[in-house]
Amino acid sequence: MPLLSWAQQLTDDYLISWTNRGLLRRAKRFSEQADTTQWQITNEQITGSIVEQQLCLSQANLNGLSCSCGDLEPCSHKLAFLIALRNASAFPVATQVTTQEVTQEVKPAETTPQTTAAPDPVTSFIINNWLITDPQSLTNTLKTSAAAFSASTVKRAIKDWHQGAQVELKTHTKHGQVTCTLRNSKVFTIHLPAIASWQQAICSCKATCCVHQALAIIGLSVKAGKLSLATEQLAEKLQPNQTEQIAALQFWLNQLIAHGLKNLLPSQLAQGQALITELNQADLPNLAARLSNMLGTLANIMRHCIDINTAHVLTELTYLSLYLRSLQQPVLPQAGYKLTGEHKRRYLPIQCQSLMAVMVEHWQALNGAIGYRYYLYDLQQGDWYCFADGRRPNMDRQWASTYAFDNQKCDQHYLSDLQFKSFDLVSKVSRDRTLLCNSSQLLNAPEPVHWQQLWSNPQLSVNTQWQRLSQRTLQPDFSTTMGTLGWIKTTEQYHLKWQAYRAYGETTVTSDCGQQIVIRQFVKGEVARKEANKQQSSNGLSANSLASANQQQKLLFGRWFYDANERHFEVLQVLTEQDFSDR
Amino acid sequence: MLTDDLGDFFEQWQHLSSAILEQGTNNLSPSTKTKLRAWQQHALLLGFAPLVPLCDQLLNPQCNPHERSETFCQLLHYLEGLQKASVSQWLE
Repeated sequence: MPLLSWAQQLTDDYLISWTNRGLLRRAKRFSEQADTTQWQITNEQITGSIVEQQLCLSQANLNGLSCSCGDLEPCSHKLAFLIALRNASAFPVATQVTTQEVTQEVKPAETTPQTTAAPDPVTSFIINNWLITDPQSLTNTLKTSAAAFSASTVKRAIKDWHQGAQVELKTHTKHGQVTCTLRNSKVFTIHLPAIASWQQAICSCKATCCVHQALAIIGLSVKAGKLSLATEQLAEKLQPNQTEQIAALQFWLNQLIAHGLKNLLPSQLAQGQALITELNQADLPNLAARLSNMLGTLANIMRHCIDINTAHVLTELTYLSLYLRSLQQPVLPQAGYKLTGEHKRRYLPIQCQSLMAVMVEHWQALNGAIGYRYYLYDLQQGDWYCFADGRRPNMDRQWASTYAFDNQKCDQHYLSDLQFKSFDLVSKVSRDRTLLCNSSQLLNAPEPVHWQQLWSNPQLSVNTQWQRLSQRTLQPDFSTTMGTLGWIKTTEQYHLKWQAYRAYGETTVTSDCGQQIVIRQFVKGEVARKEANKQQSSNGLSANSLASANQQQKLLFGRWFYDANERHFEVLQVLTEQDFSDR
Repeated sequence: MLTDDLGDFFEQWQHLSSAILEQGTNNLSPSTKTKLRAWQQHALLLGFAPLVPLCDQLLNPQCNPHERSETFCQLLHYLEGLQKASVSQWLE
């Protein structure tokens, strides 16, 4: 590629990544003073002067640029030189172009209107040019004339990727910008120019061919399905004390299963409690939390709680033993921290567009823990997020979830004011899709969502939701709290055969896409229950608001429950057009 | 919905696994053993051949008690995967 064409495709973002904004501003002032008519432009080199300094560009990369000021680091003269070259096409007559080839390169830019020009495969950014099918290709010299990444850099990048680093690409016309977020929350920005050459990629760490650049290429290639790292899986090793605790838990579990719940002894529960402490001390909080839940259920079984049965223990036992088994593999099937868990929840930066706050759910656990979750719906992607807060049992007894929610602000807006309003948000998100309220910033003023806008959203169709659920159910980190939230649109004047029970009522409806769905709504609180019973006795039909007025469009917000034997939709809130027009 | 056969198969396992956990893999009652053998046949008919040796191991009195417990866990994992896959397919 001719040197002039290479210099002219450099963007401000690329130059900022190479230096900084201040230097760029200064260089722009210098470039305005430059007289490019005196510059010598050939196919092999470009020479010229900026602020009495002589500069020479001899290669189509930044290493090929030298300045007579002697500064080895990027200086303002070098930057000004590149900017002046970039602007040279704006006044090509003044530019002394000495070779025919470069003249031909410049001419189309003068004559062809920019709006009708087809994307130039050479200067347009195409991510596919950067993707790889084999990590070894990063270490060879296929894409560049000089040596590329070292083998240890590539190995470290693969390790970072396995440890859960996030890679996001933003594509621009002439370059791509990749944001790499490492496990320790450090963020690096990598600038990929249109020409796929490792050496011309620039990282915010300022190093060339660094681990972040390798990570970006590997991450993007894996995401695009071009690269599989199954054979590159690095054997993360557990600490000896972790292995010891895992063996102890396995032994305890084997004894429990061998002797059965009928023969469960209080001393076994006490041993389990001691294991929880030891697992936490050995940095295995995931196993500790799962064991703690199981012990709670076992204790309830020993107390003969009517609501708890062996099926509850089976579910907890399945997942506890599943994690235990995965940690005993010689090669861990997932990143180690995902299996062992983390003591402190980790949040990663996220930008969400068109979020709508839907409803708050206050919860109370059997052990006395309390809290709330405020559900947010991504109107474009159909994903769910939440703001959440809570307290452990016997901690901060003055804290009340309703009071905390009413007073919680997100970027100067009360959370309750955001209900049924659409806004863009920059925040931090955890693995279970909880957003950090105090780090959230609204990018625009919240605007009311209109009923028709929501009603006509194709993401709300039952089929679309089920397709999404079917894909996500099989993912190992699928969250049943957030992942199963959903909608049902009820359009027709269906006549309910409402089956009312003490704690809930259920009915079968046909969704707008023809699916027969069992809908269940729990009657919350004693007062509501009495009211529901009274209502049932008066008309013999309805147990709650769902059935009371079926003459209009209703949007049911709730949670999908599904396993091999049963599928139903549990209603959390019934929405009508009135709810949206009142706001 | 899932096919009746598969639905029955999972439902039988739910009852069976509850009974096994309740009694303990060391102290399975004769009726539970009979039900487990019947369920093993059902698994074979449905084509879930990998379940057969696991059931055999659970029914084998010569087997080490700890191995039997781990076999039960393996059955739980296998069935959890099968249920997830079948529900996912059904949702599609």
